[in-house]
Amino acid sequence: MNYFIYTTCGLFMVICQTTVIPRLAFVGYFFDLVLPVVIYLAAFRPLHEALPFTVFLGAVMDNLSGGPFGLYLTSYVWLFIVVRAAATIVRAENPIMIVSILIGAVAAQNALFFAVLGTSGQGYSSESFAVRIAIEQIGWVLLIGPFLAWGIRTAHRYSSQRSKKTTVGPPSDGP
Amino acid sequence: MFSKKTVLILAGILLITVNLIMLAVTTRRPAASGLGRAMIAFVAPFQELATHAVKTVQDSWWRYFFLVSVARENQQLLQQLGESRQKIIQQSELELENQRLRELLSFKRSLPAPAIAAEIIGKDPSAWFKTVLIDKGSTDGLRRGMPAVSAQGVVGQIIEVTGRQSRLMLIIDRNSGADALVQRTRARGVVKGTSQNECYLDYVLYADDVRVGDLVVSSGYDGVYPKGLLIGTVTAVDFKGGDFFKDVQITPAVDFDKLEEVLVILESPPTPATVH
Repeated sequence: MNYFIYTTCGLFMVICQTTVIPRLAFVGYFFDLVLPVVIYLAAFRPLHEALPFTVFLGAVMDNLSGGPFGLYLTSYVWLFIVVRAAATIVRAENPIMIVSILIGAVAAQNALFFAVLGTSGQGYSSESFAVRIAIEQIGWVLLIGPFLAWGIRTAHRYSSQRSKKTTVGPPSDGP
Repeated sequence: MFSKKTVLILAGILLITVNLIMLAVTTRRPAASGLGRAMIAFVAPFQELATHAVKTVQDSWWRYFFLVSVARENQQLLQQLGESRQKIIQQSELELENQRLRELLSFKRSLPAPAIAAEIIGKDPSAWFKTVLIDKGSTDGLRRGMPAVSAQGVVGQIIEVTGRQSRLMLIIDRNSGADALVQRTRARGVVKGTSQNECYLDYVLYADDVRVGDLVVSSGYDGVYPKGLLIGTVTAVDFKGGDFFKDVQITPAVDFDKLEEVLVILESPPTPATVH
């Protein structure tokens, strides 16, 4: 059931990213919508179900992108590791924290892309272009981020309640 | 003296006579008498009131029914208006699509090789790369390396093919390269993308005459794009003293943000060197 929800959610974000958002002329450079999904998985879900799905999402995005294979996968897996480590220290459920993590993730992903493309010598690598992408994407995070944070928090609370209900179970009949 | 029966008959005759006389007198006098006016003045307000009340009730009743039917009619009209608006939007969309496809078709006839029209179904998720997914694949005869064009000019080339979809790398992608000529002076270079909506014409010799506004077309030497297809217009030329080449910036002829359909040329064009 969880995998079904993750797949639906991830697919929805990917379709929004590749089909819906490019048609909105005013958007410009929008941030990677899969990042919030990875943050949610890293911060709140058990490792055995979150990590495979993060890898799956990375592979999907790499296949849809024209960049070298593994670029998205690398960014997601590192983000997963960092967020998972950070979630043990800070309270990741806090909306401001989620938005901050998202801003950091967007900046780090663009830095990774810029570094990889710059060192691989693939075409032009303009710093001003990189900065423009990062600024626009962070702007969008500031606008949309609070809603995404609310969504992540709601999803986390819902899944926590569900897991509590399933672990408590029905009262036993006694000996 | 008279029997009771006779008295009754006489009384009846008298009553009829008096009645006839009265009728004769009153028909000759149209205006109401003083008593009549008083009677009218007394009754009329009640009549007016009653008429008013009946009319109000009647009006309210009819208006209620009228309002109900008007509300229903309004609902139907609003629905019809919405449907009509939707049809107008669809109509406009079809007209625009028709226009684009006509342009594409007339352009297709001018191409040296058979081509197939494809629709763009998705764009690259990353801002760093400029690739699109199209709805035609190997089952439609597409292969890696085939060029894609539109009525405006060169779009890009196929870099990946699946059964029913293909990935197209646009000429503005940072990994893209196309051999090109400046149409006016035949100065040669390689068009390279920047992943923004602009390209550069690299390897243009410092001695070559290139000016802002010159058209850049495909040379056909790369074996991918047919010769003579418009790539873009020169928007800036820069030359630094120590360099061997000029920096030539090009604005592509194709508006990639609004691109919806492309033509994929199914046969690789012969290079100009092999054409006699």
